[in-house]
Amino acid sequence: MKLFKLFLAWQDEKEETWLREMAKKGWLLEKYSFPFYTFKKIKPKDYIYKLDFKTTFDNDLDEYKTLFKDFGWEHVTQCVKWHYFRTEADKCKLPDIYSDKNSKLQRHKVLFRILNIVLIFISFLAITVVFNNRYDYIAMDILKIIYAVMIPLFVYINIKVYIKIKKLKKNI
Amino acid sequence: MDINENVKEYLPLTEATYYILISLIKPLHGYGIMQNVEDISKGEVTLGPGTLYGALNKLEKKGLIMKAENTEDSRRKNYVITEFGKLVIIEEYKRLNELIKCSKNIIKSIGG
Repeated sequence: MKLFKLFLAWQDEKEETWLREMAKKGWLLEKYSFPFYTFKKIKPKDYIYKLDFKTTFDNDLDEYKTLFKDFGWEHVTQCVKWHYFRTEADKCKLPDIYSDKNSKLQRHKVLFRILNIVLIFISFLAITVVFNNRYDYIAMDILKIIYAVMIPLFVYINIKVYIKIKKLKKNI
Repeated sequence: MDINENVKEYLPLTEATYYILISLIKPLHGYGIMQNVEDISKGEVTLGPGTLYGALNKLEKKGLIMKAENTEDSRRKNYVITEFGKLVIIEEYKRLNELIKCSKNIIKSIGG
């Protein structure tokens, strides 16, 4: 079964809960490619899902997946830098892949930094190329519309992630 | 900057980082580190893979640990503490000891 659903960068906990509920209803996540989730039918089971935002280059991807596997977390799917892990709820020692608040905060800070770089990059392109040319192509108009939507969206996502970081900091 | 200043930059260490560093006196891979940390903390500290992965990366980048040479399994790399890493845990140990020493009487006086 393929499902369309949209979760944005700060909503990872909400997404994890949703995936857990889906497994309880007998739908096991197989693959995710933004924004489509592919599920297969199983006997209902309680799985805990955790999303990790990998903060490093992918030349150690095997090592990364093996580490999680050794800890009992199955690697389900990957979407850009987001990795989806799951474990059986009644068998796991620790219901989270982060055991302290500090490391969780650290991960969010890197995510925030990357989102900011993307925002600066698309804003730069918008100023220098997209909104600053005399070409009268339809393609250019479409690009303008895409940028006009993307920039405010990214600003919104960045603010949301920033608020989440503030919250995490307060809880340390 | 002299080496002492350099060492102090890393203090205080988080509980997880401290345990990871003292585990790496001998070469260990990820899961081995977690088991060792559980052992020496008598089950008090359990590390999650995300926390451990992040810590290993950061510590390696900052030169407190390095990849150990003889790793047969390329998916499970062994890490070991560096000389600089040793200086950092010694300094942290001293700092914690100092805290205990100077607060001992006060803690006693309030019934601790």
